[in-house]
Amino acid sequence: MAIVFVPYALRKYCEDKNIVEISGKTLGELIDNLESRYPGTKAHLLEEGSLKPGVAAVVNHTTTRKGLLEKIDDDSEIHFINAVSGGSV
Amino acid sequence: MVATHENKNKYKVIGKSPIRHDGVDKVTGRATYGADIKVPGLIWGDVLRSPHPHARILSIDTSKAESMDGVFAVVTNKDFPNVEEKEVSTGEDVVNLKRDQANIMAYDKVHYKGHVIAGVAAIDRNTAQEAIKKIEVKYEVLKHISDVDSAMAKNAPIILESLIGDHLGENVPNTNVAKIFRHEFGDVEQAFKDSDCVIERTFTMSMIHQGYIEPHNATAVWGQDGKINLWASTQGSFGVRAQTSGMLGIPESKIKVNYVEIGGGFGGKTKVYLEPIAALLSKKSGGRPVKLVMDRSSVFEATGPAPGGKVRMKIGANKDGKITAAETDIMFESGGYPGSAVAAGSICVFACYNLTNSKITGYDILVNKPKSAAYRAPGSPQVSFAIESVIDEICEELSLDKLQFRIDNASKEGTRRGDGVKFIRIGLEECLEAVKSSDHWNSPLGEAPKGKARGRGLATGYWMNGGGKSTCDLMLNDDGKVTLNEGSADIGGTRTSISMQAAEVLGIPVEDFHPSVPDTDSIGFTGVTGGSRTTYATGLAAYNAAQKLVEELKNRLSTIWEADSDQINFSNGTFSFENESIHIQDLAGKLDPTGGPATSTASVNLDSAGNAFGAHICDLEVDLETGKTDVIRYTAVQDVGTAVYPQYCEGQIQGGVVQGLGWALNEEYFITEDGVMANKSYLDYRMPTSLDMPMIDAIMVEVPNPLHPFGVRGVGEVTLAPPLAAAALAIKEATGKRHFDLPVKPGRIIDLYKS
Repeated sequence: MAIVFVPYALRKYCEDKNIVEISGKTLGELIDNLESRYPGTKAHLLEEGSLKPGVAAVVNHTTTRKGLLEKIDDDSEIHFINAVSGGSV
Repeated sequence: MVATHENKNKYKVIGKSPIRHDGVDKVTGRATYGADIKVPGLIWGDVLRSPHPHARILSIDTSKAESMDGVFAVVTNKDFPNVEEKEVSTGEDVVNLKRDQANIMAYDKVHYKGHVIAGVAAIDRNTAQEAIKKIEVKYEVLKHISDVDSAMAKNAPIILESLIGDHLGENVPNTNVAKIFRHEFGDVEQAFKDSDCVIERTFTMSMIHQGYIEPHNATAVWGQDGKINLWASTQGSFGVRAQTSGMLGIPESKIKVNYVEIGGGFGGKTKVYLEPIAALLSKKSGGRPVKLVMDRSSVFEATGPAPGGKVRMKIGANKDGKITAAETDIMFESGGYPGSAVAAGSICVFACYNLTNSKITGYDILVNKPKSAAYRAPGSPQVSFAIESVIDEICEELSLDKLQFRIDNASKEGTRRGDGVKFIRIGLEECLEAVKSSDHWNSPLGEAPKGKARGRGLATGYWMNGGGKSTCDLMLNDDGKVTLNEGSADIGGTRTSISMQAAEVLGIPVEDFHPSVPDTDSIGFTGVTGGSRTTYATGLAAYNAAQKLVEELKNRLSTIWEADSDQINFSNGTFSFENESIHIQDLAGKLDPTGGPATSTASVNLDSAGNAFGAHICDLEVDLETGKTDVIRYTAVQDVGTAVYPQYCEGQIQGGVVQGLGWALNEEYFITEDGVMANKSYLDYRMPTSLDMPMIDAIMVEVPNPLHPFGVRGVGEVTLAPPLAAAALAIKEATGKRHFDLPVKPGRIIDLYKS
């Protein structure tokens, strides 16, 4: 299963864990599975079926441009961080 | 100087510094900039700006201005369409259109001195300026906020009443703190308890400006067909198109942004200020072309400077020279609306160090100053100043060698940044080793003249670099020359560094390339020239387009040579099959029977870009009577991946150092008690000039970026991160006093030295 680094603001939904293991073949599937296990997380990550404009998903070492279609491997690690664009939060 | 870590002799074009394609036009004055644009029927625009840093607008009476002879139109925020107050993506940026609209033209309140309230279009510039004076505005002046502490104080006046703050995931109304976020790993508290030495300091820094030479400008024509034609000084034509489209509610396809040269941006020309106003004025003037050009004081007061603020930094270490824990609070001024560089700063702050216990809390805080924007490695210089200063103090406290400490704790491949993301191959250790073996590091400071003292500072810095979307088109002409069109605004000579990558693939001299930056109707989407992304991302688009062109030409040759295209070899610009061979430039004129002109296009949308690190040494002399500082020697070491055009890399490194030394030693928004900027001209806003600077030595370490076929890394930004601390630490060594407030100006030096 992939390792998800839980953003600080979502740890309260995830039993205060900072890392959880979640399965999913794509980022979208992984977020769905995260929500099933830890309800309340998805609303902080998605809006109208896409990653929120202020959220960037990092899969392994790269910030994905494929959004929810990004493929996830069993040994992937995923971070949700603030999107950095034009130097702003 | 280039210190190569991997053999790059395989390249024929990469690594050279040919004459740049835009050079002649720029040195002869033939290049066209935004303010040069002349369109038949052109009229002039100007804007009315707020004299108050914080006030409610009670009424705006434009009738006297509208009735003036020669005035064609007056616009206020009421002329903008109503848009939703929410964050949206423009394809490369996240924006809040309602707030962006309000930032370029206030609708109910002014949030900073210089905030635009109304615009006028008139027959000439003087008439427009006179008409502006006829607009009558009634204000209710409100208490203003000039710093982060005041903004967070209980009962502080609220700047943006509609703001719902996001404080660690909780919605908080009635606040000036737009966002609080955190990255936390390990057990920071316990690690501090287990440390031999813990140092905690608080640093402050002033808002400062990028200081580009060319002021903002915009010319717009709202055509009778409903299409808008725009010229603007910008780092990204597509960004102008997207923002103007969003603010005016016009589809992007109805807006064409024409490329003009740009006289510097450094991040400050990624946002629009005048463009939508020029378009609205044109529309209300019956489609006449309208031009607006800012004066310098408006650039200072009402564009996007780098945020000031406060950084609390706490570091623990053991006697064996290992960092045990690190904790920081980064509080940045976003300006009049949310959105500072604090997220980027939080990524950069601990990036140079291999930490297992770390806690970063970021605060995005509104104050009554202009809305901040990007400035060269946004957020990194401020946090580098803080962490490098504390690292220096830790080394002093534990009697450890400052360079060896940094080497022993340096990030490397596999190290996690403060936000948890793992590094791929990076070159920080190589930079620090290059410092260790440099002539500068191994040379004594020398004796200071009487009445002066000398010191040496060392500091590191990080910037993550950017990827994103870019497009490049190639056309092989009959004469064997190549027309290259690419979408990136050319700020630092990138037409050439991009062409060089296609030239390397095609085996054609780069002098035979004719690169251009077309308008937004004539090239695919390309992101802003910023984030150190252009030579990397648009260069990769050029590389891919060149590879496609080679494949296309193999297909054409397969007809001529009656061979399968995959049997045709291509090397050093020459195609060959059995006993046949032909150079690509000789083939160019023989393509008509095979299908006509050969062209190719490639677009990329790249994930992360490969990281950049630097380590700088600053030798500085302080006059102990006046506090005047003179930088006497400076060496900047930087991992540049592969130096595509070494002279550009050197120039970028040197330019960033100069800006960093200005930030460190002199530059600041000097805000009066009335909340206004007192030094809004280059006479009073003290930027360094060539007379202030010694020759800055650049040592380019080349650790190729694994994400790019030529190993290209972005170069232009990380260079601004280390100088602030390097200079402040040199002053500390010279005077024995540590400085925690920027700029470290003569008055502060003397006050502390004599205290």
